[in-house]
Amino acid sequence: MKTLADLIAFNIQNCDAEMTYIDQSVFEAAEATSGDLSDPVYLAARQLLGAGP
Amino acid sequence: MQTTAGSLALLGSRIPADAPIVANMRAAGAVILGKANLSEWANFRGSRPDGIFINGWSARGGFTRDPYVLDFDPCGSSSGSAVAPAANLCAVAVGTETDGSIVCPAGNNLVVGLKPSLGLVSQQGIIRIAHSQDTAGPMARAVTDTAVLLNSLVSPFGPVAGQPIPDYTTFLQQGALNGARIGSTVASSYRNTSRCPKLTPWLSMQSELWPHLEPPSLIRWTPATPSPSSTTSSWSSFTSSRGTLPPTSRACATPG
Repeated sequence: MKTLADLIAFNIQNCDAEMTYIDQSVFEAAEATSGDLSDPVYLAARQLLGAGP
Repeated sequence: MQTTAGSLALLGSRIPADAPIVANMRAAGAVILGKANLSEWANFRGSRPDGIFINGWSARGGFTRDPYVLDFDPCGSSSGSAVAPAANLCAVAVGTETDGSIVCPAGNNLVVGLKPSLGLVSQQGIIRIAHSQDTAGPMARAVTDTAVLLNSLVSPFGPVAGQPIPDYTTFLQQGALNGARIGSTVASSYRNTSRCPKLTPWLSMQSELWPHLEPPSLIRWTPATPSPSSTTSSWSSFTSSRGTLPPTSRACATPG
């Protein structure tokens, strides 16, 4: 298990144990981002939440 | 003991050494009894199909129960670290918080929880969501125990490194809450007993535990004029923006 993609794949492979109550929508949304902390979308989200730099 | 964030994906993983805070606690004489359950991946994995995030469940540990009201939300994500001292399974516990994961389960399970300032407590050896927000912190039945544990957790880094650190027990003051007036926002659905009838016994229990305090339900604080820049507005924006997350693929429907 080295990456978020590894975890997503693991949860799919083990869905009976891992996915009975909750999905992995946050993991999937995170995997769909650039992963770049200077991404304007990320910075705008931080600003919306009132987070500091 | 394994560090798995409650996920079966990390089961069997071997850690090279104690986290600095664990080493600190052992050096101060603590005996580590066990690991507590949490909301898996600190509730940053996903939600129920209806979009609701549930607290205190992990595939490794199952559901965490609030020991005072078994069918009440134990909150999270450090659910077990609140429940364990609440149920007297241990004197103190360590929780971690990005945003509310210590203080919310502490509130729901009637223990003391403190999120230290970022940089006071080492993040090493802890599975984090955001290095810019996450910190471990003490949870216990008594404020004194919380201060004692905080003393041994101190392991500064970043802007806090090199600064003088006080002995937090010197700030303890007997009777500091006598006559305190406790405010409670009426806007919060968590405190609206008409929408959550199970909170009624919980609130009355609070007044039994601390009879010298006025029950939170009797004092209400409401902003005179809700302003567009108020916290509520930001929260509404946040929750509605969360609604635009791409629809999840229900993995159990995925072949193979």
